[in-house]
Amino acid sequence: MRGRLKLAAVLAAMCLVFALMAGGGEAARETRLEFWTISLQPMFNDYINGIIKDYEKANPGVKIVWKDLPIGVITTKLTAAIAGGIAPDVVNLNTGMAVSLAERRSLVNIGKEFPQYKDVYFEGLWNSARFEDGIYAFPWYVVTHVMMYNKAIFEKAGLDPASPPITWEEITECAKQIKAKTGLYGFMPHVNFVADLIELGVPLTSEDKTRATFNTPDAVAKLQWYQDLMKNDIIPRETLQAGYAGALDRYQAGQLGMIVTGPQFISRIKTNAPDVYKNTMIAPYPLSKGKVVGAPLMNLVVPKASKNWSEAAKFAAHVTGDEAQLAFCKLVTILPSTKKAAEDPFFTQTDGTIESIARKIAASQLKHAVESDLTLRHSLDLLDALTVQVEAAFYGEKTPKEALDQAVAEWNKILQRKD
Amino acid sequence: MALGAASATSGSASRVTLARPPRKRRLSHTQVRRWVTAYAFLLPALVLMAVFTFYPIIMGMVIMFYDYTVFEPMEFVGFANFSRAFADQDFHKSVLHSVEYIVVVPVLQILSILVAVLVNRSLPGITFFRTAYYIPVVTSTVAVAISWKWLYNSNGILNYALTSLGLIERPLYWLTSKELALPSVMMVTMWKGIGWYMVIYLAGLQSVPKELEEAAAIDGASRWRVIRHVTIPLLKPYVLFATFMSVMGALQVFDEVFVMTGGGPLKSTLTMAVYQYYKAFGAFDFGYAAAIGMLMALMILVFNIPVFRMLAKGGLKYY
Amino acid sequence: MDTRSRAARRLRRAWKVAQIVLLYTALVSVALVTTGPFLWLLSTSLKTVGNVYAFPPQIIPRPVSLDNMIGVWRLLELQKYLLNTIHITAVGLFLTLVVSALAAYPLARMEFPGRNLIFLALVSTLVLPNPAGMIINFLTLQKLRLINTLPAVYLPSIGNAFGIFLLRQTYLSIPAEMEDAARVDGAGELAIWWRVVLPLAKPGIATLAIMNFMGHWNNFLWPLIVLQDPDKYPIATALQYLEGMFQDNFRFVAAGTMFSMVPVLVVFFSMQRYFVSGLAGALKG
Repeated sequence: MRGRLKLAAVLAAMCLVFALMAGGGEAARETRLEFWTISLQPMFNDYINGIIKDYEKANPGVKIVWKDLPIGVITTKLTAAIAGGIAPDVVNLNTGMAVSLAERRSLVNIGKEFPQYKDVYFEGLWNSARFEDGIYAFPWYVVTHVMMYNKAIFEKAGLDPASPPITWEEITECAKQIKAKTGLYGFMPHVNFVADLIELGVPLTSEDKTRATFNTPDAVAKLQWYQDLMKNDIIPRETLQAGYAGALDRYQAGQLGMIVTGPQFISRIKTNAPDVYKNTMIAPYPLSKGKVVGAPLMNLVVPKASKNWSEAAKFAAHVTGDEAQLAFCKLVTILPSTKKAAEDPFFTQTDGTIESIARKIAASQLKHAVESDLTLRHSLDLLDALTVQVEAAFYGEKTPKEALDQAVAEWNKILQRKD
Repeated sequence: MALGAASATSGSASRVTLARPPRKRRLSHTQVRRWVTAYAFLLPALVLMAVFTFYPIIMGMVIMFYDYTVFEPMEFVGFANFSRAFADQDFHKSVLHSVEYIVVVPVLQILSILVAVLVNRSLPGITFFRTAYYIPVVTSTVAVAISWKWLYNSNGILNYALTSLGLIERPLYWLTSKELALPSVMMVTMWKGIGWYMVIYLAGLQSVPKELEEAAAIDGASRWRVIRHVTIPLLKPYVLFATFMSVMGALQVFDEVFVMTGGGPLKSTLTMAVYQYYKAFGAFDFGYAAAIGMLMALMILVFNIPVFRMLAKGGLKYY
Repeated sequence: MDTRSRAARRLRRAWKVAQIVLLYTALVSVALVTTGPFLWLLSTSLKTVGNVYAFPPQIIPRPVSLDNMIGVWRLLELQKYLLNTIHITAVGLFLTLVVSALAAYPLARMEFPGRNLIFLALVSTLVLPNPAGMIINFLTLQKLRLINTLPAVYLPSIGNAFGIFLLRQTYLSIPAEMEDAARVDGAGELAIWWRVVLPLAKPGIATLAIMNFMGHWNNFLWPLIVLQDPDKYPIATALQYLEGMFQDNFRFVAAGTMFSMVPVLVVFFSMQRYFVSGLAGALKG
């Protein structure tokens, strides 16, 4: 018995010791800013280090410490760092991550604290990391979509590779012809129904965000379109689940006629599937009624826990500024989120390579770009409720109308929730 | 295999139920000295585990009664996290998938025993084969994901082989259909597990006296008797031990699911551990995640009751 | 009579040959299943031309080239990460073995109060969850001022129930007579443990080493959390840099993975012999 007590005492004492040992902060003589990026090392070491050097020269007394992290772990590491009181000052996040942290009240409200930067960026992109009434991030680099197609497959199907489809109707026809003539799938969309709704100009909710409103005829027609494609085996049965990566794999294997994707993936195709790269050509992504296109965006956020958040925001604005972004875009097929940088002739010229054609086409749509992630409260639950219904319609278990009505009813319940 | 390296593995839990309490409580000087010695041996392990294992677990048991997001102050919520779990459809789904995952256990154990029997002989090159069978165990999760995703790709080698052999007409969507995704991930678990359990069973088989084996090899009639009266009883505790770990591993499965499907498509492979991870590091809902973890622990105990029973009946001598 | 016995002998020999052929067929087919994905990665890492996603897939690389291996080594400067990995694995493994071997001894051989409680605590670690464990351990290490040091990577996983249980099991299979003899001669417990028990427990220790090795070697998430300075990363963590929006060379991923896997295989291959022969030896003795 006594031994047991002793053990318990030892354990308790140890817990106490660790609880009492307080972590000390480091005294900063100069303003030291920690800057985290996602997967840019080692390819862009010179570029990032160059920006940092310039900034430090222009701002004496500021020291930037750069760390690059893989995308899968950045929120985990950020959580640990914030909990440990050693939060970084400027962090690269995608919009989804930024909004989920904003929901936890852990980011600086850029829109409120630094409204002067608003006009530098495209409006649709500045508004991306919106949560309730705040804007929680500086937009950084962005990619809009282009359509890539395999010329060899087009020829085999008796289509003219020089005149690619430019509307959704034409894409549908092409896909049907490719399937009929070659047996290969002509098209495999990356299904994101929220993005579809946004691109169609269908309002997701009422102004006050208390009611869902997306069961409109346009939305029903879009879902019907998917249902017909599935029913007639024009798109693979795995379309809904395989997503982006699945479609890209299939395209790289030379087993898919057309794919909608970001221009930055061209270099991946070039490295991994040179034969397919040689046959690839680019066409614009068709605009729908809403005259907007969903565009995945990278952001820079400033955690509230940053000890120098004001300095940090200044640096973030510099990294996402015109000059720095333009230089970045010249290194890789991405697009800037700032208006002035996008006006550079670099984005309207081509040198004949498909990379430059893709860049030109994508850049011409930048003014239509908006983030297509849900930024409503309970966004994960809302997304689930919609996905279940979209899936049911995809597999023909429900009519598109039934599915969307049901989804709206589910949304209304969630939107009313108070927690 | 991150921090939880130890979780894939375990000793025999059964000892808890079976270890005898000290019989006499008369204190003598030598006895006390022996106690001190015992604790001296245990000290490094206990200190390290107190700090890095027990303390987080105890904290976990505290935060399951709180609303804890790391970023905001903790708030006591009583049993709210548990009542939430009981009403949470996704959690129900994840429980169902984790329970379905137990299907892996019998298949994996039988395969592992067969493989262990296969390599339990001295033949030229047997070391090579044992190493080959152990490769999946030492393969990092990242490499497993890369290679198996390719294998399972709709244009991948598995579909290619099956269509070439005429077994299927069109490619199957291994990881991208609701019906096949979970079984496909289970296959990976089995692939990874065979080498591991093979080593355990090999250890068991090696404890069969060599003389008996030799005798059995000469005389066909006695072979069966050796298997029946020596090998099987000797193997029994190993089987129970492996089953216990395997059941636990199935209910806690995380790595394979997380890297191959992330719980999808459409949540068809969402398991408890994956759901718990998403709640913790996706939604920063550490209180709820801790509550889910506790329910998971309870389920592991419930599902291992038959194993414990059998241990108490049969394997007692060995454990 | 003579011919009949010869025929019988021939039949027996044929049967034996058939048995061996069957045995090897089984061995090879299982090996193909277990090593298939590894072989594909190897083959991809040796290819420089053609489509990685080609359908039907190309299995044998033609021409064979080490360009990817060299390329990924230079790109990431893998040598420093490899050294970190060796450091983490060697020290981590050594400490795990020592700590487990010590702790298992009293649990196998001594009666003392609190024993059941310790058992219960050890088992509970296998079952009980700690979803916030990573965060809490991070905070603890911060208080110990160990963040951004290599010990922060291996310390949390050194004390683990599995190692202790495995070695306790090994100790239990060793007859206690020799220890008693040593005790009669007046040896202390530590000396008995070191001189009598440990040498006989080698197979168990080898088994634990094999099983524990890869846990240290392949760990990539935790180092990333506790290390601030990328120069201290182990190789598994560094390889994460090959995955990302702009990292598009799949052959590099395959080649890098080879670098992280091959050392583990070499260790297993060499330890495996020792493990099996040691096990057999211990059981005879």
